[in-house]
Amino acid sequence: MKKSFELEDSFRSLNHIPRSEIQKRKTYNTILQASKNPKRYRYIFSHWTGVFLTFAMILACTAFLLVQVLNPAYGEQTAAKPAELLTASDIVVTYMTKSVSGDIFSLQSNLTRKGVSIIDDPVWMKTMNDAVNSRKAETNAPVMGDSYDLLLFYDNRKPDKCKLWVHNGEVYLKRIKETKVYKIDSGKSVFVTNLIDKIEKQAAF
Amino acid sequence: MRDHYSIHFQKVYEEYSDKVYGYLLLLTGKKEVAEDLTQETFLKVYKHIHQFNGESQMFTWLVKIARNVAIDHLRRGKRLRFFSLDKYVIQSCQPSPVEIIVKGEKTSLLYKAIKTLKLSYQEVLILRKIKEFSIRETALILGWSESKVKITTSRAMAALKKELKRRGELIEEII
Repeated sequence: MKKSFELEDSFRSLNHIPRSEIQKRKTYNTILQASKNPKRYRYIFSHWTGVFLTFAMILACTAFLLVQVLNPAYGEQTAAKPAELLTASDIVVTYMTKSVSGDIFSLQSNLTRKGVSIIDDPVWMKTMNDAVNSRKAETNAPVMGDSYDLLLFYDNRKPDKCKLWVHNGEVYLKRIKETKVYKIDSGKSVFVTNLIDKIEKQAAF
Repeated sequence: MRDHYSIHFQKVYEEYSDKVYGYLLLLTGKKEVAEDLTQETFLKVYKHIHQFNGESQMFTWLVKIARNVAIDHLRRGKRLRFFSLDKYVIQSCQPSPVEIIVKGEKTSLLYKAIKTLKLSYQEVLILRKIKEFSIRETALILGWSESKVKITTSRAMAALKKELKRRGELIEEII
C-alpha cells in the first residue's frame, strides 16, 4: 500500500515542471507577432527546407551519375587499368633492343649488356609518351613483323614493356600486356625510323 | 472584437501554457523542443480557439492539439534519423531534463524508466498517471477507445514496473 502511494507521489511530482517566466513571455509575444503578421512563405520555407535540400542533393547525385554513365571516359581510349589514368606521367628514359621473337621480351634484366640502347632523346620520349598515353588504339594495325623490344621508364609509375615495329614507313607500338596497338604520329614516324636506324648502326644489335 | 479575442486567448495562455509545456517536456524530453512545440500549439490555438465547443475541458482540448503537434515533430525527427542508428538508442540514452533531475533521484529514475517504454505506453502513462486525465479524456486525446486506454494503461504499468525492476535501482523505495 505504501509502495503504491510512493509511486503515485513520484507520478504527481512529474506533473509540475517549472518553466522560465521569461521564456513564457517570449513565446507569448512570438505567438502574437506570428498570428498578426503571418509570414506564410517563411513558414513554408522553414518547414520544407529539409525536403528541398534532400531533393537538391538527390538531383545533384543523379545528374553526376548520369554524366558518368553517359560519358565513361572516351570509349576506345579508356585506360587498361583505372590506376593508369591516375598515374599518367612522362617517360624519363627508354631502353631498346632488337626482338628475338614476337612472343619473347628480352629486356627483363641486364639492361647494360651489349645490344641494349638507352634513348633519352627528348623528341623520341615525347613521341613515345604521346603514343602510349594518347589511348588511341589503331584498329587496322598490320601484323607485327621484325620488331624491337622497348622498355619505357616513367617518372612515378611502373615501366611499360612494349614491342615496336615499322610497316610501310609507319611506326607501331604495342604493350606486352595489351592487345591494343598504338600508332606513332605519322609526322614523327620519319624521325623515329631514322633514329632507330642510327641506333641500330651504332649499337650493332 | 479583436481585443476581446486577444484577451480571451491571453487568459487561456496564462492559465494553461505551463501545463502544456510540462506535458510536451515529458513527451519530448528536451526543454527547447518543448518550448517550441508549446509555441506551435498555442499558435494553432490562437487561430482555432473559436472552434472550441466546450464538449471537453479546455485543457483536454489543448493537450489534444499539443499531442498532435508533438507527434508531427517526432515523426519528422524519425524521418531525419532514418539512416541513423540513433533511433534505436535515443530514448534510453537521452539525459533527463534538468527540471526533472532537480526533483530528486526517485522522480528522475521513474522518468528514465518511462522513456525506455514504447511511445504508446509513454503517452498513456503521461496522460493517465502524471497528468491524471480520466479514461474518457485520455481516449479523446489519443483518439482511442476507452477500453484500449484501460488495457494499454495496465500493460504500460506492468512494463514500467518490469523496467524499474530490471534497472534494479532503488526499486524497493519507489514501488
